[in-house]
Amino acid sequence: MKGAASVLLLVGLLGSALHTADAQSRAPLSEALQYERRGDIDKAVSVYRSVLRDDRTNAAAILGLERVYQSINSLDSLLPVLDSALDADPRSRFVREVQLRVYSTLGRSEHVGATAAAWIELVPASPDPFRQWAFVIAQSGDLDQAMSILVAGRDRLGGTALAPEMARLHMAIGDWPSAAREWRTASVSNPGNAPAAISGLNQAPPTERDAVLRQLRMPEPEPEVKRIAAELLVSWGRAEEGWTLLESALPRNPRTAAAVVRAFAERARRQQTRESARARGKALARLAELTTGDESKQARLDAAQAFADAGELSAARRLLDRVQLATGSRTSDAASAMATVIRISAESGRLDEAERRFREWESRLGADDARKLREAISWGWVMQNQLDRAEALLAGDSTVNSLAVLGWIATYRGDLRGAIERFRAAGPYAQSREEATRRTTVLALIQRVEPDTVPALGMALLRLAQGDTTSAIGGLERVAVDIPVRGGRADVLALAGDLAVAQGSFERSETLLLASLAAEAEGPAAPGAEYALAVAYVALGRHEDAARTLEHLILTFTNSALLPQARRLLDQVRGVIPQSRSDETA
Amino acid sequence: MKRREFLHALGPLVGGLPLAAHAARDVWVSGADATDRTRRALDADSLLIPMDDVQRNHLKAYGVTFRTLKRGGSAEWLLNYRDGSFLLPDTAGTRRDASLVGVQLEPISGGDVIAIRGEIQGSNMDAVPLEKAPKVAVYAPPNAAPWDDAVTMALEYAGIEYDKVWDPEVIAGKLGDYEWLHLHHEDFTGQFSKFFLSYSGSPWLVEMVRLNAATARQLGYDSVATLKKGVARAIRAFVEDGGFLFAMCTATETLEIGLAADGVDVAAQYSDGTPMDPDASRRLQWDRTFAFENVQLEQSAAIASFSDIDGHQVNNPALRQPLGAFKLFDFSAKIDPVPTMLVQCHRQVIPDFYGLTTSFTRNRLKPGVTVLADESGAPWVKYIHGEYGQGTWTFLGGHDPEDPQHQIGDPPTDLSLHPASPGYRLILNNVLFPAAKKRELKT
Repeated sequence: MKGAASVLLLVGLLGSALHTADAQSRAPLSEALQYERRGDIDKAVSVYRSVLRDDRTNAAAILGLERVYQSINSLDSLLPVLDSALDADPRSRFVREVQLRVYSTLGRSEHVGATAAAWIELVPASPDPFRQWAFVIAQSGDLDQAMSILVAGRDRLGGTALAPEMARLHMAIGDWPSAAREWRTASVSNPGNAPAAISGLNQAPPTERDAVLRQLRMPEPEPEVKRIAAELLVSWGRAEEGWTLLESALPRNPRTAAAVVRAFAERARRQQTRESARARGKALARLAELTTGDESKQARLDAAQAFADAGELSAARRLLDRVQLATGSRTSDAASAMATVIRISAESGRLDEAERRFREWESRLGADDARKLREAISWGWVMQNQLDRAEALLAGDSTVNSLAVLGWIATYRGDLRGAIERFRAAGPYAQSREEATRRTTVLALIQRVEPDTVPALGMALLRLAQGDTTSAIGGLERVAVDIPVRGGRADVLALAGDLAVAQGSFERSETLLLASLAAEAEGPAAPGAEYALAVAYVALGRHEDAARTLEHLILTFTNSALLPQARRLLDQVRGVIPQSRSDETA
Repeated sequence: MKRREFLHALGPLVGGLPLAAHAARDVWVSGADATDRTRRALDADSLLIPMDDVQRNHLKAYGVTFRTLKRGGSAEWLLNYRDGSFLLPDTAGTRRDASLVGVQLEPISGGDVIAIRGEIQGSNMDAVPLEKAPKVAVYAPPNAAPWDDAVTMALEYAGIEYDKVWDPEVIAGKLGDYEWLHLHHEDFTGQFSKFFLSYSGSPWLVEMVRLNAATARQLGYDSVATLKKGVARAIRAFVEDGGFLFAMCTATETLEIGLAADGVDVAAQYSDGTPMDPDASRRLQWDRTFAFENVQLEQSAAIASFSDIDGHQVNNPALRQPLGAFKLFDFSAKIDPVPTMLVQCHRQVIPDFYGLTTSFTRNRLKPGVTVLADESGAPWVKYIHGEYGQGTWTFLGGHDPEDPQHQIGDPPTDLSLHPASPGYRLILNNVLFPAAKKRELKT
């Protein structure tokens, strides 16, 4: 269905003409449209013609007649109407365009040429006749002739005339380097063409992109062309290359340059890759230099955050070191900026510094910022095995969010009873939905484990939180031996198996999950274990085993919440629905 | 069962005797087709597959019914009863199947069945026995993925078996092995859906052209356009001989043009080396087609539109119409069971969806064509049906009911996200409809 879009390349018409319809003619036009919609062609024709008797160039009526005549294969009936309209306004671009289109649709190619020639004679310095003539010829499928017309137009009008049209035609033909060359010409002669150039060239297939960039870069490009290339690069996932190009082509005026950099940073933000975050960080750092005062400070903080998002914590810290925040300041801007400083310090592992700054600024931070930072630093300590320091930071904080963090700290100590109490006190709504789900999941697990205290289980879960999945799986497998068969062993093994699936250790996950099912074939952990086992089988290419496991799950655990996804996976195993990206990464 | 057998069995109904005018039990035990199997189904507990909003997976319900028939079981299609429910014998196999695919079942007693029959008897409803799983063929190129086409997606998702056939099989006369044929969104004018210019160089188009050209050469045709006309004639012969044909999107319109264009060059120069006959529209022979007449062809090779059959003209900027919604017609279940089957749905009004052919211009329909759905007040219809020779054809406009603005390159529709799709139900009505066999009545 994109077919028409690609031949709509030379359009730039009609809309404005429609707006010129006389307000008084709107009611009859509306009536005519109704007739047209009902298929009452005769009445529609009659009303459109009555409008044109009073206003011979009424665009909406002419277009309406074009539609209805075409639908009854009488398009030639429109020609006298168009002649009459041209008598009233010989220079009407709109009417000339319709006339060309009608002759083209009727297949009267000699009239198309004659009409275009007459129009050219009337407005010899205008590109309009060539543009529309080429458009109707392109629509009829003869792209080569359309190009010849544009070339003739440029020969006559000189210079860079009709460059955007030639660029679009080259795109339709699939000649992307030529399209880039024409867009370059068009944008240099009129920078207002740059957005269209970016939008058009952005559609170049991946195999043509380097050729497009070569055309834009060789010979030494003009600054506006560099900016187009930079925009394309960021859209094509090459944000850093784009930034390098853009930085060398920034306008001299700082305000204009700042606007260009700001737009680039925004486009890079949308890409959401590490590379784009890094490029965004560089752009925002440059923006900080181009601006002054609070704007500059904010840009630097945003740059630091972007570098942090890219995992470039040292670059983030370097920028933060340049943010001068007076400790005596009480402005909300300063507090907000300091919140960023503290958060990045915590995220980059500089917890002593983060905690020191936090305690120094706590009273000036907003309550919400203070709570989030306290939790962030506390989590930072947890990640460094400093459970006491994490707990101490939350001392005296009785919010549900803090109770949730304290629940995790108790979990990691292996104090399962204490963890259950704190998680229950935190309730189901503390923190984000994802975090609440994670908390509920671990609560379901530790409630099944019979001993009140299992330090080895806590340590395994801490390893998991620290991102050491391999150690966590090993720890869970070892501790499972010490947990009673019907006292949570199946649940712990199921978690270990689930983690092994997520890690891609499918053979190991099979062993763990089968051990879980052997411990308790129909316990609360069994549906999840069977589902994870099926996922592992799919990954191992053992589709029959996967189907058998899923069928068992569906037929045995008829009330399980996993049924919809089990059925969906079964459909995928059987090949009756397509794989989706989310499934591939599940 | 071919349609000629179907019509033969339907004979008493054509005579105007309402099926449910008999006491339900008498009908079932005394009719010539009221087999022991169906009698047992009545006496034993049954399973009702509701098809109203209670059902959570309407599409797979058709598959459960199909597989019941495939296993040698029988079923009934309760037209207009709870939006076209199915009544199946209560077997462990059916329960297991339904549970696996997530189809809601309602176990009901023999007494419940009699109550349902009573309700059917007194309303615009009917019970149609389904006795044999139809043999289904899909006309599609060998390299087409199931996700390229709405019907194959529906068949795959519902779990209904089908074979793929392509030009060599059709030309070799293999269609006679099947009862139901669906046409992949094919261009029977041989112009590669008129994407030749706008998608020039696209790998998928290059492959499409290569495959079709090679097939034409292999089968001894001088061009793809000539080959496709031959295929169209073979499909017409299949219908004439009692086959059931279903087509969507561009296959509807181009099949008709291909049939009407015997001896007329309707293909652009890029396709067969010669330009389209400028007088082609006038020379088309509409007495050779199923559904349309007096059609004007689109002469421009660059506009991906074939004729004025399509009311929406999605690829013709000057004529493109916006999408609305279409409404399914009500038919008398006891007098017009065939159209009634084709419109069984839990929604009467369905959002429209584009295709290369989205709809059918009303004033291009032949007299006698049954309109199954249209857009109120619009000069086009959406869903049509008719008879030809001993067989029937059904055309549905549009490409994908759950992807209304479908564009080339869009990700495939995942029907597990649309298990209650009313648009896809219409497709599956067509698949199951050849399974229907009316019992003869004791008169």
